[in-house]
Amino acid sequence: MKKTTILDLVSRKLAPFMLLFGFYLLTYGHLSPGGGFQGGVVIASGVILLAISRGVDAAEAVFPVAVLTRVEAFAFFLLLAAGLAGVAAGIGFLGNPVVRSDVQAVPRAGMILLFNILIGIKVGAGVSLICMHLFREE
Amino acid sequence: MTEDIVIWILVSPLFGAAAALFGKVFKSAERVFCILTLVSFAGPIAALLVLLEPLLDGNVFFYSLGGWPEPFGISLVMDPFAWVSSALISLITPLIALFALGNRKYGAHFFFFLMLLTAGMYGVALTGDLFTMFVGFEIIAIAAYVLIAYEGTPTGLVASFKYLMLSTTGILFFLLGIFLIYRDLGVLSIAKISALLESAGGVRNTHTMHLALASLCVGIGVRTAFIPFHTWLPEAHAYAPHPVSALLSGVLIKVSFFAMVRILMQFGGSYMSELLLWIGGFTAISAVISALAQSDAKRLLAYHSISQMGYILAVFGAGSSFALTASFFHALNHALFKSLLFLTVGTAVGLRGVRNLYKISALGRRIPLFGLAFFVGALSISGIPPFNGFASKAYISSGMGGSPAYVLLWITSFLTIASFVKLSRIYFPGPKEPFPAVQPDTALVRDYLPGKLEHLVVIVLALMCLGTGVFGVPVARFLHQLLYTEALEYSLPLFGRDKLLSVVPAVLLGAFAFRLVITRAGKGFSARLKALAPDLHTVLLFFFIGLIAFAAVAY
Amino acid sequence: MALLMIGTIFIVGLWGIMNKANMVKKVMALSIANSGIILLFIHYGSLSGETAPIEGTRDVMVDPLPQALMLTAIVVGICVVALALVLVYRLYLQFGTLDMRLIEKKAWKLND
Repeated sequence: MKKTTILDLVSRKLAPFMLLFGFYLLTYGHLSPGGGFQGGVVIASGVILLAISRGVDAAEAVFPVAVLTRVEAFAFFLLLAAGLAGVAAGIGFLGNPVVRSDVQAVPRAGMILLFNILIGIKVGAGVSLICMHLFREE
Repeated sequence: MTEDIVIWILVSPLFGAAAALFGKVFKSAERVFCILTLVSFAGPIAALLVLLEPLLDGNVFFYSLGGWPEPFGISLVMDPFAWVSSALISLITPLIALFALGNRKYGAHFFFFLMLLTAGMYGVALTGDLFTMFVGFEIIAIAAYVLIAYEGTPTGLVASFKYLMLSTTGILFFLLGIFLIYRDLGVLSIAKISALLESAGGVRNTHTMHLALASLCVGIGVRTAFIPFHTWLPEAHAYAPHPVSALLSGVLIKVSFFAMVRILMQFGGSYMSELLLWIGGFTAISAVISALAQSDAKRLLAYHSISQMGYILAVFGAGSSFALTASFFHALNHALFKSLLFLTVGTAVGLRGVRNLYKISALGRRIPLFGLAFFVGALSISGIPPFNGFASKAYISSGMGGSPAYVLLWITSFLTIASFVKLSRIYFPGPKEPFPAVQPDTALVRDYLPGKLEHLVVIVLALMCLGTGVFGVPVARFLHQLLYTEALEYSLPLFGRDKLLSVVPAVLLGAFAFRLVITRAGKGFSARLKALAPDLHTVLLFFFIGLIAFAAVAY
Repeated sequence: MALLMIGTIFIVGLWGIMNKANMVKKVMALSIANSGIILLFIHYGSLSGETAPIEGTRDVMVDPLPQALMLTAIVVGICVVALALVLVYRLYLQFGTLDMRLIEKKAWKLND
C-alpha cells in the first residue's frame, strides 16, 4: 500500500476525532440521526484509516486482534442477555423493563441507549476485524 | 403464558451463535463450544413440542417483541403453517449440524454461520409482518453466501457470487412489493393486511395490489428456484461444502416456499394457481432432462432439487386443501431424502477427490452403510414403495386430480429413475467392471472417511425415510389435521394393488430411458445440453421475463 | 418528478448488474439499485408531515415506519455489498481477472 504524505499527515490528526465522532453517534442515536450501527461503522473507519496510513502493525498495536475478537464475542452475548431482561420482566424480548409513564425521558429511552452502545461496540469491533484480516492477507 | 415460549424458538439459535463466537475466541475449547451450539437446538424443539397441543385445538399465538402493540412492533405468529415450517427446520438442521461436527474441518466459524442461518430460517417461518420476513430472508442469504464460499475453492466463490447477485436483485423486487402494499394499505402486518383485503373482497382489484403480489412472489421465487429463476441453484448447491448443500437443498428452498404459500394464501392470490401449476410442471421436466445430461455428481442432485421443487409447486397450484397437504408432505419427504442423498454423495465425492461420476465407482465396498443409505435415498426419490417418495408421489397424483400438467410430472418421475440408475454407479459397480481393490489411506481419505457421528446421522435419516413411507397415511392425516383442523376424509390406500402396480411401468420406462441415455446419441445430446448453462447476463434476462409473466397473469 | 428520478436510479442500477462485465461495477450497480429503493420508501414516507419523529413531535412528525425499515434495509445492503466485495477480491486473487465472463469460462472448465 503506497503511503503518501497527505494521507499520513491527515490520518494522524483525524483518526482520534473519527473515533470520538463514532461514539457521539452511538450515544445520541435516540435523539438525532445515528445509532448503534452507524456509530460502530464510523469507529471502524477510524481504525481502518489508521491501518491504511500507518500500516496494519501500527493499527494492531493500538487495537490488538485478540482484544477485538473478545470484545466482539462478549458484546454479542451481552446484547442477547440484555434482550432477555425484557423477557424476565414479562414484557417481551428486547423490551424495556422500566416502563412507567411518570418518569423523565432518559430511563424510558434507556434501553435504546444500552442497545445502541452494545451494538456499536460489536459492529465497530467486527468491521475493524474484517478489515484487519483483509489487510493482513496481502 | 404459552405465548412467551414462541420467542425461545428464535432466541436459542442466536445464543448458539454467541457460543460459537466464544469458540472462536477461546481456541483451546473450540470443540466444547461447537457442542454447545448443538445443545441450543433443544430450545426450539422443546418449544415446538409444547406448542403442538394448543395448535391442534385451533389456537393461534401472537407475540410482539418489546411489548409494542401490533402496528408498531415486530410481531411473531405461531399458527399451523409456522409450526410445520419450524418443525421441518428443527428436524433436519440438528442432524446436519451433527454431521458437520463429526468432521474436523468445520470449526467455530462454520457453526456461527450455521446458527445464524437457522435463526434466520426461524424468523421467516414465524414472521407476523412483511418486514420481518425481509430481514429473515436477508439473514438467511448472507449466512448462505458465506457458507457456500466457506472452503474457498474457486468454483465455490463463483457460485456464491452468482447467487449473491441474483438473490439480491430478487430481494429488491420484494422490497418494491412491500412498498406498494404499504403505500396502498398503510400497514405491514400480515394479519391486518389480510383483514383489510378481505373486507374489500379478495385482492382489491387494483393494479397496485396485483403488481405488489407479483413482485413479492418474484422476490421469493428467486430463493425457491423455480423456472425462470432457478439458474443459480445448480452451481450454488453443487460447489458448496457437503453439509451445506444438504441444508440448502433440504431446508432453505422449502422455507422460502412456505413463506410464499403464506403470502399467497393470506392475501388471496389464488388467481395465480394456474400459472404456478404450469411453472411447476415445466420446472420439473426441464430440470430432470438437464439432470440426466450431467456428469458432475452433485450438480445432478442439484438439478433434481429443482425438479422436485417443481413437483411441490405444481401440486400447490392445483388449489384444493388436499393438494396443499400433499405439497407439504412432499416438501417434508424431499427434505429427508435430499439431505440423505447430498450427505452420502458428498462423502463419495470427497473420498475420491473427483466430482465426475464416471470416475467414482464401487465405494460400497469401503463404506457399506453409506452405500445402503444411498440406496434408500435413491429409492425414495424414485418413488419406489415402501419409501416416502412413493407415499408423497401417490398423494400428488391424487391431488392433481387429472389436470393436464400431470403428464409432465409423470414423465419426470421415470426420468428421475433413469438418472438415479446412472448415479448409483458411484456406490455400486457397473455391469462390466469388477469390484476394484480397496484404496490406500491418503490424506483425502483421512479427511472424508465418515466416523461414528456421520454414520449415525445417515442411518437416522434413512430410517426416517422408511418411516415416513410406511406410515405415510398417518403422517399426511396429521398434517391435514394440523393445517385445517379437520380430519382428512379422503384416505389413500397406499399399499393397495392399484398403487403398487402403477410403479411398475414407471420403473420399466426408467430403465429404458437409462439405456437410451448411455447410447452414443444419448451422450451427444447430453454434452450439448450441458454446454447450455447460462451465464449471469442471460440469467437476469430470464428473471425479467419471469417478472413480466407474473405481473401479466392477473389480466 | 422525484418519482422519475428514483425510477432512473433504480433502472440504472439494474441495467448495470445485467450488462457490465467487470465484477466491481456489478457490485456498485447493486448498491445503486439498493439506494433507489431506499429513496423510494423515504420519499413517500416524508410526504405526510414536517419534522423528524423524535419524542415530543408526535403531531407534526413524518411517518416513522419507513425510516425505521430503511435503516434496517441500509444495514443489510451494506453487509451484502461488503460480502460481495470480499468475494470479488478473492476471485481476483484466484483467477487474476475481474471480468465475469472469463471467470465463468475458466471456472466451469476446472471441474469437468
